[in-house]
Amino acid sequence: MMFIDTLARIHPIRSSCLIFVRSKHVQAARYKRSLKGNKPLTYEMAGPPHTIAHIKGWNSWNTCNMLDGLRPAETAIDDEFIRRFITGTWHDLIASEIIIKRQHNIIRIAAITVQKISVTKMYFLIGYTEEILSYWLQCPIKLELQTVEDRTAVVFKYI
Amino acid sequence: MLNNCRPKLLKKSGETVQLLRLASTNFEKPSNNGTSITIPKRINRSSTDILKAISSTIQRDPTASHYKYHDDPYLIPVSNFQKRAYALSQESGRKSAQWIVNQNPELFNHKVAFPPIEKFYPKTVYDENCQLDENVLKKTIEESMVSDSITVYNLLSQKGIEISSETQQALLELVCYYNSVDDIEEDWIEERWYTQSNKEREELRNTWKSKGFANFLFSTIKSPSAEHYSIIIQGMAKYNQFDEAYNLYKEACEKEFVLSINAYNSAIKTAIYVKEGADHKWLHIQEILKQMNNLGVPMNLLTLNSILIVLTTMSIKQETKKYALKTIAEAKQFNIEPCLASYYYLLQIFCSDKKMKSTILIDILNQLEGKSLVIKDLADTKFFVTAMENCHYHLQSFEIALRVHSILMTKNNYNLIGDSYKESVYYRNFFSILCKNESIELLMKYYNDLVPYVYIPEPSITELIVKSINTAAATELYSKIWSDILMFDQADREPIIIELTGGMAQNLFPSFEQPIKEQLGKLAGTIFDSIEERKEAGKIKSPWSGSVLGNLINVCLFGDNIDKASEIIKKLHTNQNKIIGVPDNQTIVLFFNYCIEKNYFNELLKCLEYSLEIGYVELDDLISKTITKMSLTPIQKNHLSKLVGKEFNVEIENNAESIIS
Repeated sequence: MMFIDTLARIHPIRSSCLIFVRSKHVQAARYKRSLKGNKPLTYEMAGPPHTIAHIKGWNSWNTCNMLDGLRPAETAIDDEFIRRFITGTWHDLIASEIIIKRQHNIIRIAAITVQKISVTKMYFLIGYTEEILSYWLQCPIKLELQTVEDRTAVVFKYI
Repeated sequence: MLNNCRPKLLKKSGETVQLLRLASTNFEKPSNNGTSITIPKRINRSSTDILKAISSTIQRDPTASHYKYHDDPYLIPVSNFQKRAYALSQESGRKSAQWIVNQNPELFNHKVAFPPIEKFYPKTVYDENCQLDENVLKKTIEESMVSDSITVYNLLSQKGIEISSETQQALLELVCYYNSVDDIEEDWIEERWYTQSNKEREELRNTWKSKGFANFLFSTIKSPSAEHYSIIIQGMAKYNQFDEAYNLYKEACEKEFVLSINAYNSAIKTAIYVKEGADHKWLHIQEILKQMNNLGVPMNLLTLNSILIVLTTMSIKQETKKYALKTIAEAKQFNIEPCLASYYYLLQIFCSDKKMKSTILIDILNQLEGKSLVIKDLADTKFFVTAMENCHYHLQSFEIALRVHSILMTKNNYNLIGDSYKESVYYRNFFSILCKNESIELLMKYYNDLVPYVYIPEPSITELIVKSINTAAATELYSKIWSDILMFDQADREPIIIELTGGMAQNLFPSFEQPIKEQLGKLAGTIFDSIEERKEAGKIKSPWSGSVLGNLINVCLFGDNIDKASEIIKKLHTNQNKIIGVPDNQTIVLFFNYCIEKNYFNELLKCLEYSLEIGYVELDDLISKTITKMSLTPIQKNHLSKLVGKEFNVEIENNAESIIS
């Protein structure tokens, strides 16, 4: 954006045209339209990155990247580990992004799961995930799950 | 000037700073017009005090389940079975995670946390290859790892490493306390919560491991001291090995040892098995107390409790009561305040007689009210459940039950409820008293507060609740109680269904408004449907009973739910062999009258078919009434005559005509 701003200052007349050209080619973290227009998107997926903090939140909540923040790189890696671990352990059950919130030494992991397996199994997985992640990351981990009957419940729009 | 030099002075020794402070207060005094400000002393706070203060502002939310369950409709348990299954599943998940960690300890040796947290490291395994010394043993004892300590001790003695007598004694203490086996770890909260009750059923059974490590360790000590004797006597008495404990006690007495106070307490407890008869037991107690007196060992709370335990096992009630009061008085002289366990024993001593009612509980409650209680004896957790039982069976008073309940609810006293079993017995008694003695409004107040998140009524209690709804004729509660019955998975309990349908059928008043009537009719329909569904799925094995179906028909008709009523009649007709009993005469009469009134001929035919097969007595009148009161088409008349038989029909028609003329 800074680049575009500078350009706009240099060439005031062509600026709008330039922005248009630039944003046309941006494709990171945006979902492609499907041919039939039937690709389901959740609310989180529907918003492109610049809508973070406007219409949607962050997927990782921590203070590592602030001034004097601790372990920024390690935290990013840990978050990725947690995401992969959870999508793998809760195989085919997670229907949303995995939100990771860090407060003091506690990590709270929130997600929406599908009610595909019995409740006892779900509780087993909750206990298992919490325990093994706390052993790995050596801090208390808490899972904050919500369940939905099936995946269509979290669909925000089709593109 | 003073302000300027303050920083410099502060840097100097502490004395100067104090002098300065004194000086500054002296200066300020006159300016305050003689009123001195007293600055309160600093209160030392612990690191969690602020959290405690915040949490004290929150009250229990009766609409939320326990926080161990996930706050999501799908994941919230609604029956006792689910509560147990969910909590234990989660713990079993945690266990399997720990198993994986302990299987692959080499993967979990990274150290991320600072300061390091021991709890998150895999468990150390002790074997021959380890570098072992006494400090390792000390550490395992410190962490109360019984089996680990035993292996380390064995390895050490194999290697011929001497251990100090202090560590040896500590080890003996550990194995005696835990009976040489690992207890369920503190981490497994749910397992402890759900299994403790099983453990206590083994009460007074000798569970001491006679070939266990404790005995072995004791025998290796060449000249056991008074401490060693004290420890092993306590251990044996804890696990009900009374004979040996008493023998060791006598041995120690012969050697003229001064044992620890708790060893004497354990020795007192041995009277339960060693001596028979009230007199002998009392003599035994007195003997040990005298011994303690001679040696200058003052009694403590546990002495009081162990004397009371022995008294509970005596059969002569009059004397035990006297002894118990004597003991309490004696304890008072030593400034010993009885704890919950002592009160529990007192309740047992005083209230075992059903004829002679004792109001000792009220005196106890007077003592306890408003106090913040802490656990002092393992048996403390038995008090509340016994007190509530006492209110139910002995005093039969809800007022006193409420007092017990309010004591339980003050401060952190709820921690003393014990385990899941005791908790449910406690509430079972609480609700029984409520159902038997109090109004339905009060019952529902507590019901809404406690059910289902704190307590889920057992089938017998649900039946009682339904009964009290019936007697109070609180028809508006039927739909709520029925949905709760479904939720608790108690629809398969026949007594509840009989009680519920019977009550519903009795409490039908014509003065009800139409919407209420319809609601009831619908409810009867859903009751029929959901039970039918469960029967088809094989969840309910017992067959329908005719009277229950009859009651349902009554309610359906009352609520103008003719479709359901005729469905039930059809059910009765087609499944005659599977249904036990038949509906009341009145039900059939009601059905006929209803059909005649509303002109439902097809439904009437169904009922007629059924009643013909069953052979109801008053059928003639009903048929004649049908013919006279209903305007029938020739086809319908034909139908009717086919069913009843032509001659019969003619006869009845004649009768009817004669009545009209």
